[in-house]
Amino acid sequence: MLIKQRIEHFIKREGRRPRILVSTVGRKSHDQDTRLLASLFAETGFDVDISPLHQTPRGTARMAIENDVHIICFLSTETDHIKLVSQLVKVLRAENAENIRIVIGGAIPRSDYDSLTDAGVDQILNSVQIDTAVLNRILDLFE
Amino acid sequence: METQDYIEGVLAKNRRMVAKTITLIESSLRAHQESAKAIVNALLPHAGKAVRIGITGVPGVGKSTYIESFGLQLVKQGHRVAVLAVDPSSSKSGGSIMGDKTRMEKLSLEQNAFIRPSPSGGTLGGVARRTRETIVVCEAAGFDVIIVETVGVGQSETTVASMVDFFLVLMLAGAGDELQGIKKGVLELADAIAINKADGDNIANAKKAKLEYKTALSLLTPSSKTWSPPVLTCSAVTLDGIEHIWQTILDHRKKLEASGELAQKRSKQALDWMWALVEEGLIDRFYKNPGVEKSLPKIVKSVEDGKTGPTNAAHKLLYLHDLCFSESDYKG
Repeated sequence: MLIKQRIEHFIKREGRRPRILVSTVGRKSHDQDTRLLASLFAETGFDVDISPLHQTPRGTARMAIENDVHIICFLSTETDHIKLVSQLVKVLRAENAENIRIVIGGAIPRSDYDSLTDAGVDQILNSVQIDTAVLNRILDLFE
Repeated sequence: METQDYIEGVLAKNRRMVAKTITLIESSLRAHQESAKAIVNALLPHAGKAVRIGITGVPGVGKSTYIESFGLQLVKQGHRVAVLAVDPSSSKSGGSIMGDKTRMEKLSLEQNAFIRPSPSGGTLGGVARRTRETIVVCEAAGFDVIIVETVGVGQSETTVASMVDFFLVLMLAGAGDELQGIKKGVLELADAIAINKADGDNIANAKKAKLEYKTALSLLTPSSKTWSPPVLTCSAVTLDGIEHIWQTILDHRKKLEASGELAQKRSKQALDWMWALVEEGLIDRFYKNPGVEKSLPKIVKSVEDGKTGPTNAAHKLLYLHDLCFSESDYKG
């Protein structure tokens, strides 16, 4: 099925478009990547929220809950992304918002994939270029 | 979750429940809308006490940055501030980018602030209903200042002005041709005009612009007996003038309360709300009407092919709607 159709189905089921928060965590965040990803998602038909730069896991969780998003797309430029994800998951759980899915992107070494999945990441992007396959996998999370 | 959970959650000032309730209000599903209606009705007696402020201005005027500074100031004074922003959805993909919070870095982390951007989703009428109901939810959750931000395009200013107590229009001092760019309609709606970015080298320009807007406003007939809209200057960066705008809003409130105009304004807005709902409901019923639904594609095609004239087609559709009305509606 085409992504467009899948999104139409999503709207019929949920009553709104899939809403995603693109958040850049850590000190060395790159605004360009955030904006690029945001526009890619928006062009696909997502409603996209962008967080301020240099977010903490707590700030990201709060914004995700307040804007009631389905997915957090977490861009990490730090090496301690596993710790950041664990913190994010913890805050979400404490707020009863563990149903928010987590997608992580950035420079992430293959060796970290398993630990990230264990920490609660649903999807790992290996570049900021998202293609149909990635979008399909993200939409799969809701079926 | 049950309707009662939402109501209790909102009244208990639970951030997540406020957010979830707004999602219900914005949902296109019938079942969600029914729940939202019940929740909003139950919350209505707890609402109505906040200062409702509408803020508009052309893109680039610095609305988000202004709201960041203004909101932080109010939070510091002990207020609880809710910011509702409507972002335009793309007519092509249907998606949207909501980036207001990128410029509300500090306010978005404040415990006593709540910022919710919403996609316009195409229909302007829908936005009006949703925003009115969202205001009720935020007020019931104890927010005492509600800021509704709107992009300065289309009819959105009129819509927002019809649901707030105070309508603030942000302007920029520029190359001297400010007045050409503004629609007269926006000036008529304004309870105050603020020239933003009045800092550094721009102060002299801002003062000049202030005089020009003052002249422009003096040519309009004021909509209130007790209030003539002032022209102010401010800077979201140096914070000059921000507190003065808040004092102006409070002054406006005091004067209009004393004269009874605020009560009048709010009851007129309640009527506006009712009519908006009636109009929205009529359109909705039209499309859901079984007779219309069945014949619509045929009639549309016939008009496209030039076989039926638009006038005849419209007449036919409305006739079909009237004909089937009783069947379709008295069941539900």
